[in-house]
Amino acid sequence: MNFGDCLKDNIGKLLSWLIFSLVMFAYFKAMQVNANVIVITLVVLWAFLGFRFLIFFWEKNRYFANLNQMLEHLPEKYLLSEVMEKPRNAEDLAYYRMLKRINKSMLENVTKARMAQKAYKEYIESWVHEIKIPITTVKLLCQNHPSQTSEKIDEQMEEINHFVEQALFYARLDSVSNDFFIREVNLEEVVREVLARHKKLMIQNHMKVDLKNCDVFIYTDEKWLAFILHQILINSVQYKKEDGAQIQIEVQENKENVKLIIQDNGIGIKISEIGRIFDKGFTGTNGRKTKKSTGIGLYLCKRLCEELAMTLEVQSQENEYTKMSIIIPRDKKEILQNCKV
Amino acid sequence: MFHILIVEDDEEIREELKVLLENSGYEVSAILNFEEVAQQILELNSHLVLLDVNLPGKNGYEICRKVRAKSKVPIIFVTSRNQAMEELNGLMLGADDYIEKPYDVPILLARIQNLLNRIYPKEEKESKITYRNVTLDILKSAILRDKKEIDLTKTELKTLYYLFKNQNQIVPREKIIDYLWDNGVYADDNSLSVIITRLREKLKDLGVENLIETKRGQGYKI
Repeated sequence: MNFGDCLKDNIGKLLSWLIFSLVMFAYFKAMQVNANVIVITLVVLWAFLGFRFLIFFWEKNRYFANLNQMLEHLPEKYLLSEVMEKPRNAEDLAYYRMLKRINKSMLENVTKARMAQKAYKEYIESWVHEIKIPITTVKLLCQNHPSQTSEKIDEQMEEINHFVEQALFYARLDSVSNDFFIREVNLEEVVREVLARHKKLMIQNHMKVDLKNCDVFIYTDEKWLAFILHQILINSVQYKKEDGAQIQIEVQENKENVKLIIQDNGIGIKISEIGRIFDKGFTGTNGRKTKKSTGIGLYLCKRLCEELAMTLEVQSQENEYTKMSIIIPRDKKEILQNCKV
Repeated sequence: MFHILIVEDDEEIREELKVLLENSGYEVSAILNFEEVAQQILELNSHLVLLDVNLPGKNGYEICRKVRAKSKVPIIFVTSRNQAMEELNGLMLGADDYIEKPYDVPILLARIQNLLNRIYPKEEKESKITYRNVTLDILKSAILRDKKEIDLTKTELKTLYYLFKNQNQIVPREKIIDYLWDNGVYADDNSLSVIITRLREKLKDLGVENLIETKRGQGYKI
């Protein structure tokens, strides 16, 4: 609250006091009161009024400053009326009561929306759980009845499974209790399992993978990391060049971090677009060419990395390469803290 | 022969899994009545249990705990639920491994194999295969003939091993690449050609020619 504004709000009162002073002055004059007396009376009157106004301003100012500060520290600002003191002033009280009612109705709506969101999330989770059973069955059927067709079906099932997982991870992204399972894992084992699992995708696309120096132990959630790696591999396959496609996977370590680098020799990313590839819904020139991109994959990767206290970085040169680096902190505490476990 | 017990309530998956494991050379039984599961597991006394976590009206963890109280039989949890942290923690106390649905079959088989190898250590594996006077020594990673010995790289060893294992059959190139990927060599078509060329040169140095035949459009044969 600023002094000028406060003065402006009270201009009416001020004017009436001015008129009152003039009337009083005229009346005293008519009664032939001594000029000194008139001056002293008016000075005392105005000094008192000024003083009163200053106190008034100071109190208002303190009141709002308090409220503002409370608001500042409140994580959920809309709860202000729940925590603020009941005001003594009649006008403030009227506003306070209105605020309470508004809040109540808003809280009801927020709760309703939250419940709906939670129910939906739970539905997605149980749906993912259900859909995995027929996927498993089909995969087993493919294995037990091998043919060229079954190979292709199996590959498509893997793709379906990836999209199903995408839905699951997306649904879980914003939930407070992310169910991570952080434990010590061998990075090379995780990478190898992802490669083994998706070998069909890689072999059919004539990809060659060069894996070296990945035998380090890290703390992470294996499943989430596998999902991120798979997504990166999918991108490398999707945006490969026709001939001699190759992916290099290696690890660089220092005291604090382990850096997993996945570099392909594909078509790369335009400089003008590289800053946006992790944005939700961004498909870019490459994505639009293949028409397969949804703009969710890399966004999810970035977010999942953040949740796991890892950093995902990209470097690329158009028509040359794309290099994705996942930086994993060595400190278990740092990861656990970040994961809200 | 190892005996594996399947505890899985989905009939389709149970049957297919049974076929799959039988084809992979295991003796397989499955639980059909989901009352007193723990008791049945103990009575069947298998070498390994594949235990689904979501059973009708039951919880796999509960069963695992009951079994664990009396037996050390290796248990692999099979789950389609993406576990919460505490659940998985509990799991790690009781089970030996876990795998998620939909499992990749080679990975499932590898997990089973690993666990069986760990719990029931086998006698010395077959370490030498011979074909037409050429001996492949797996432990040494070398080929031998008449006291002459030539070393192989890891990749060459794996490729030749697969060919030796499938003697007198035409082995499609894709099958070899598939096998290599399962064994940690991520080769493409071109690299396979390079590997075969190098193997032929090494075999030539041993004095063997035309051991690896090329069947045009079909694959290789020894």
